[in-house]
Formats: sequence, C-alpha cells, structure tokens
Amino acid sequence: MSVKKYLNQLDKLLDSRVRLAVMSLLVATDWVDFTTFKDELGLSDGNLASHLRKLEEAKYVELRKGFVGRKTLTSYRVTELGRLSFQKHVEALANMVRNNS
Amino acid sequence: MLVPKEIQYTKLANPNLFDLLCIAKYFIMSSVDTYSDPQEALADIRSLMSRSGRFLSLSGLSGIWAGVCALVAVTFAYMKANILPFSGVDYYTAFYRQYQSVEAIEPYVFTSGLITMVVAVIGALFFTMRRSKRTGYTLWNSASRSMLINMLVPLAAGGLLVIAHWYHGDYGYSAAITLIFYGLCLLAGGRYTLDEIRYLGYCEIALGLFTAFYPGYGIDAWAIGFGVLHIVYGMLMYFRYERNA
Repeated sequence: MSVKKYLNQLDKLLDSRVRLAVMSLLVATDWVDFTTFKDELGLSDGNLASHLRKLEEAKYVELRKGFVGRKTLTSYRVTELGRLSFQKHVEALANMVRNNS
Repeated sequence: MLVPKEIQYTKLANPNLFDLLCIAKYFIMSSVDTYSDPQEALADIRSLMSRSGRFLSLSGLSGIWAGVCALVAVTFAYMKANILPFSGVDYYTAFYRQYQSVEAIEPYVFTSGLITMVVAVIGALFFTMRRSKRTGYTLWNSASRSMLINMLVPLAAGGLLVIAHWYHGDYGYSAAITLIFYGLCLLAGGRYTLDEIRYLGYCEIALGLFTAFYPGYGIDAWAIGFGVLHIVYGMLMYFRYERNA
C-alpha cells in the first residue's frame, strides 16, 4: 500500500508540531490554561495564541475565560470533534509507521 | 530579483534559477513546523500525553507500604478483640465479648484507623516523591490537582457516612462503606493516572458489597481490601513500570 493513501488521511490542521502538541496535552486531560501550554511547550504568547485560534476556529477546542487576580486566563478543552480528529490523525501516523518499516 | 554578490559568478546567478531556489527555500522554511517522520511525531505525542495529562509518579511501593500498614493495624485489631481471621464474628460482638462493654470501641477504631491512615499516606507520599524526583515528572501539576479533588469527594462522603452510621449506633456497615467509597475514589482518580488503578477500585467495591451482605467478615474484608489488594497492586505496578526504569 502506498504512503500516499495515508497522507490523505492525515489532518492538515494537525500537521503542525505546535498544534499537535497542544492537542496531545488536551486529549489526556480536562481544562488546560494558557500559561500551562506556554510552560509546557516553550512558545511565545503570539505564536501559541495563533495556533490555538486556528484550533478554535476548526472547533477542535473550546475555551473558557477565567480570572486569576485581575488578569484574564483562558483555559482550553478538547471538543468531541477535536478528539475524533486527533485519534484519526494518530491512527494514520501509526499506519504509516507500520507499513514503512 | 537582485542576485547577491556571493553567487554572482556561479551557476546560481541565473535569475530564474535563483528565484526558484528562493521559492523552494520559502517552502522549506514554512514547513519547519511540521514533522517529516511520523515515528517522531508519535513519540512526541506519547511523551506529551504522559507528561501533563496523567499523574505518573504514583509509585507501586506506595501501594505496598499502605498495604503493610493496613495489615499491621488489622493484626492489632484482631488481637485487641481476641478473634481469629475469618471467624465470621463481627467486630462489635467480638469487642463486647472481650470487654463486656463497647464504650471503648469508637475511640479505639477511630484512633487506630487515623494513625494507620496518616502513616500510610506519609509513606506513600515519600515513595511517590522519590519516584517523581527520579523520573523528572512534576509532582504537583494540573493532573495531580484534579486527581486529588476528584478523589477527595467520594472519600469524604464515605467517611462522613461512616461517622453518621456510628452516630446512630450502627457499626455493621463500616467496612462495607469504607471499601465501597474507597473503590469509588480510586475509580474517580483513575482517569488521571495509569489505568490499572481502576481494577483495584472495582475489586474494593466488590469486596465492600460482599461484606455489606456478610458484616461478620468486615474486618477480614478490610485486611484483604486495604492490605492484600494494595500489596498485590503495588507489586504489580512496581514490577511492570518501575523496576527497569
């Protein structure tokens, strides 16, 4: 079976290292706040925010705004669609590995 | 496009070729954010999921320690009421037979239970902290916080229910309630740590329900549930995940 077939199954949105990392963190837990992402992934605010926005626009994550003292702190949670897409993407990756080795 | 001086006299000086190279370079640069090797992607996913989603520092040795504490405490309880394991005499009756009064039973069970719990928790914390230092996972993260909150709710509910039963002079269901609610507490916490803890939870609940029907074996069920099962679970986890790590 050609690799091409699997390439089609890969999720374009989850091709990005950052977005894949964000989703990996989210599917394993519940709400994750912005600061935790930043610490865990070592990214700048702007970069991280733009990736999170893309995931949010695709309805892969939902967000909740809270307050820590006076500052707003946004938390994110994976949606059902996001979880499904992530699973499909990981499965496609695993298939690629399995059929290439 | 302006060709840089360094490559003016080389083959690359061909403006068309240079443009092409620039475009190619652009695509390479823009794809830095993606994985070229799916295996690498999978490895990263795995490590990220384990790092912050789940609380993985819980040591099997903590389970063994808690189990040993429980067995020691239960042994003292057997001796105190002068009964043998699996005699089928409920603790309340045995206690009365030994002392002709049951006034001392509440403070005795309460203090010995409390001491056992404190010693077990301190030891469990020690082994888990040691493991977390070795593996480099943080002990206090969002996973362990959620785990603690989710576990405390059924645990506190069960504890208060036992106290309510005592308040009404009913001792028969103490073992059943503590085992069942402890099992529920493990199920609630199971979402945040390795899956195996859920099986321990199911066993505790089954054991609790059994002793709800046969209260005479309450103290034996305690010994099995809090002692033997903890040790079995702890050894299983230790040999599966820690010994070679």
